[in-house]
Amino acid sequence: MPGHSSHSWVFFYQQEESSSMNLYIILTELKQLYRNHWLLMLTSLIFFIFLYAAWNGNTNVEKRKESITSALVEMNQQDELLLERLDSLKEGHELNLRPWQYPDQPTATGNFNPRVAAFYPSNLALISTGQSDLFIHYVKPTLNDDVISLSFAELTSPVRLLFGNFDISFVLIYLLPLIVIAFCYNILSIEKESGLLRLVASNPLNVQLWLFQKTLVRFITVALLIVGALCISLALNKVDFQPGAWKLLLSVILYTSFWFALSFVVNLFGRSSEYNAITLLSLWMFLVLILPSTVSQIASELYPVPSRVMLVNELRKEQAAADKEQDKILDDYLRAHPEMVVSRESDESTAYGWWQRYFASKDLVEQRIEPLMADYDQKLLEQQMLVRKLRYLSPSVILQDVLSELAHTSTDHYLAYKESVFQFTKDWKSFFLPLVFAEKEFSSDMVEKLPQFQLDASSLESRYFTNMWVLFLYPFILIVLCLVGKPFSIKNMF
Amino acid sequence: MVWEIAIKEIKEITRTRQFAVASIVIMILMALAIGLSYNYYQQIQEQHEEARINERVIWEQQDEKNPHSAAHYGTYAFKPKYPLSLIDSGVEKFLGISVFLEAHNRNEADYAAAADQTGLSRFGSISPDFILLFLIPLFIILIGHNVMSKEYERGTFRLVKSQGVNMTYLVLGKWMGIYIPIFLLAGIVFSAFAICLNLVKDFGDVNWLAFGLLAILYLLYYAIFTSLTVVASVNIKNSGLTMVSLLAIWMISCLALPKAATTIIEESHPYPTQQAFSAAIAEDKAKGLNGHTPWSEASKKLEEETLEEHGVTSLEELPFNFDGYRMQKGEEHEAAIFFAHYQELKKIYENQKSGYNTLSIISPYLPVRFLSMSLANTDYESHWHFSDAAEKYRLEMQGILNGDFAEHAAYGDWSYKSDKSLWKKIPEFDYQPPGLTQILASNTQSLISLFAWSLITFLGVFLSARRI
Repeated sequence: MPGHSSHSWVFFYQQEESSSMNLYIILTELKQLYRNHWLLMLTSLIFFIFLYAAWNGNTNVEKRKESITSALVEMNQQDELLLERLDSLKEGHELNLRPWQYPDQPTATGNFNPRVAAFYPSNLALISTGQSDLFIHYVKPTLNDDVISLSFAELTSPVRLLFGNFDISFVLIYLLPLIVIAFCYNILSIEKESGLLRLVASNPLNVQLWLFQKTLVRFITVALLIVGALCISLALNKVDFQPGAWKLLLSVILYTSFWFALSFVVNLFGRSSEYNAITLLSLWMFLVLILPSTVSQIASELYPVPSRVMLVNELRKEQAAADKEQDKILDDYLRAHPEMVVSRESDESTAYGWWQRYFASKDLVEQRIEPLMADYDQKLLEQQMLVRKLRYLSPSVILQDVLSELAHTSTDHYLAYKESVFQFTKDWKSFFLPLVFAEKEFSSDMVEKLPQFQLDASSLESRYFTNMWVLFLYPFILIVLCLVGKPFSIKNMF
Repeated sequence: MVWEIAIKEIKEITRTRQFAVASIVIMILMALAIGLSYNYYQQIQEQHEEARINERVIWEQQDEKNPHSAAHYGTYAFKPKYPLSLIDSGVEKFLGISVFLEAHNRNEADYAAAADQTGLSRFGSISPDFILLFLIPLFIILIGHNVMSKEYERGTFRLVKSQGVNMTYLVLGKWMGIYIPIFLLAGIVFSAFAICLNLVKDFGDVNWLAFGLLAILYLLYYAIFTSLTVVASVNIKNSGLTMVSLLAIWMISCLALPKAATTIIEESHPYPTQQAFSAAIAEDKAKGLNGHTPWSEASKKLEEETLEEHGVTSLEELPFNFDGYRMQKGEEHEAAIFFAHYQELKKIYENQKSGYNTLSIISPYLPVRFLSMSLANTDYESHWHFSDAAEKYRLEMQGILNGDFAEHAAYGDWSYKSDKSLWKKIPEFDYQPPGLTQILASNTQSLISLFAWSLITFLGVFLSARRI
């Protein structure tokens, strides 16, 4: 266990100069740590869990990349086939397809040759699974798709979602504080319990400073180990050391410092090892388990997302109404979109006529349902806003926010992705619908002009620097209050 | 003697400040959790009931149309919520709540609640199962970690031993000293659940036998943690170190291992991605019979077989509408494809669950987690059960609609329309959850693990007592 003292340092307290005494305290603490089996255990533990967590995270990232790559390969193959078929048609050949499958029909190409709208993993995606196990990472919006039909739900075992992932984020948020607590809960109390504190007390000593130096040595040791383990884990998984990686290291150091500062304060009260352990573990439980759950619960209670079940009902009613008045809808639609009206009357007997009624009616349903959909996004946004305000209550929530932001796996990132997909679906329709309404054919020169998906992340605001400030202020305030406050008397500790 | 030691220990434990503070915190959190859970349950129940009625009205009020158009228009099946989900909401928030039942497709339940929550919700929520599964074991560790070590530290152990106290009695008394307050606490909590379930009529039919089994399950879980605490306290002899060691056990078994297990299991039995799963189904469907592709090879084959079977030379001569017949045959063929793919998915999950069961050798949390969800009807198997029932209903519905088309319309007459009387003929979706016997039968491995954990840890208490 940490903090086993040797009698050797007692000698050093007898030195007269306080500066050299400080150095001796630090050196002695270092010697104790290095001679103790605890440090070896700690090093092995930290390296093992970080390497394992990084490997886990990277496995998920690789799967994500593979699925996108194979979708792109398939898309390119389909495009080649499309061009071949269009060329054949141009040369007057027949195709072994049903008429409505002919690629010169804009409705056929718009539905059978969709683009891959992919959400690529970021450089640091492996550090935090975040929401990435809930959602899919590419969709292929077709001409028939809309905000209602596009689903982003991934096929994942719900048990996996319930248990969560053993990723770097879990190690940092949950396990790291426990490692710090196990390493520091008895820094002072063990001296008291082994009787050596009386010897310390016989020296002219500022107990806060003495304990601070001891804690500092441990903090530096653990911080170096974690930074080392993180760097090796990232390097082994071929992560580029871009600014994101340095930002990650800074946030981890600050979070670690918070738990050391907390251990320092609890130790300073001079209670027993058992009392310190209970206090620190209660704080861990409160800050890491109870508070984040409570904040999340408060957010969803205050801003409940309207029932999806009721949305289904509304959608059905609108669909039923639209089905009944399809012809009127087409007239209204063309009145609102004069650019779509062709010189001659839309021929009801052709497939174009059917498609025109279909798209006009879909457009109407979508328009009517839009306020309801907007209400969902609004409520989710309000939840997010509240969570953002309340995140300052717990450094664990702040770190979670930082990690998911760096990994691009936050709710915000997935909302931005969804929005980009919806926008792209509109662009895709805007490309094909004029052809449908003008009863024009799709030709091979249009393939290059097909809309391409772009993830629009412009709505995302970074909270990194605010988060860093608060993560810095937590340990800073704790330490300053203890160091400048009334010196704790060693006498009271006996 | 055991009883006297237990009484003394109970007095000592309940007089400590940490017991008072921790039990008050747990009670407050539990009251909050029950309140939130009850509120959520009531809201969802009302919404589902309203949606179910609305959906039926929408279905029955359809205008005259071709039965196959009605089949495409489809209807929704809403997953009911069960009373015991008040205690354990299991994996519900990660699963969809409604299934769209339409022609040619088996759809997955959509709109999982987790997709509509912030990323912070992945930390968990203040729910009764969170308190029962995570916090009460911590409470046991808190009140019991020093049950023996304090005797060593205070030096009272020598006094006790010098009086010739039987060590087995001493340790058993200590065990009871920790367990009885926990038993009472669990009693209060489960009584509160029972009052809630009993007094509020909205909770529907409560399976009280399942409720009783849930209570026994948690009492066994706490007995395991009590035994682990006593064994650690007897052997480690230092209160601080015992506390840290027990916390490491708690952390590994309740938090780290389940997370690590998901990765290990996902690696050995991977789930397909949504796209891969859909693509595999689409590929199989393309190869076979589809009601909408009369030109396909499979359709031609069916045509020939049907003509031969009825001894006629043209489709018009058949005593039924071949279009409707082909639709139904196509539906049956596609249903078989869906069945095969979903069976594959189920098999993957069963293998995954078996993996979790194997890992439950190192974590008592895992068998309890799985059993608790199952008894509350909030586990993945219950979802499968619902999803299969919805699919069965979909096929029945398609059978009635296609049957009407085949029976009443002439071949090629796609203008044939049915009226509201046909829509009303389709029975309402009436779903019954799996019975208790079925639940227990599908959790045999978890039950074995749980009993093994109970016995081994209790044996550990005896062995530790003998080693003192």
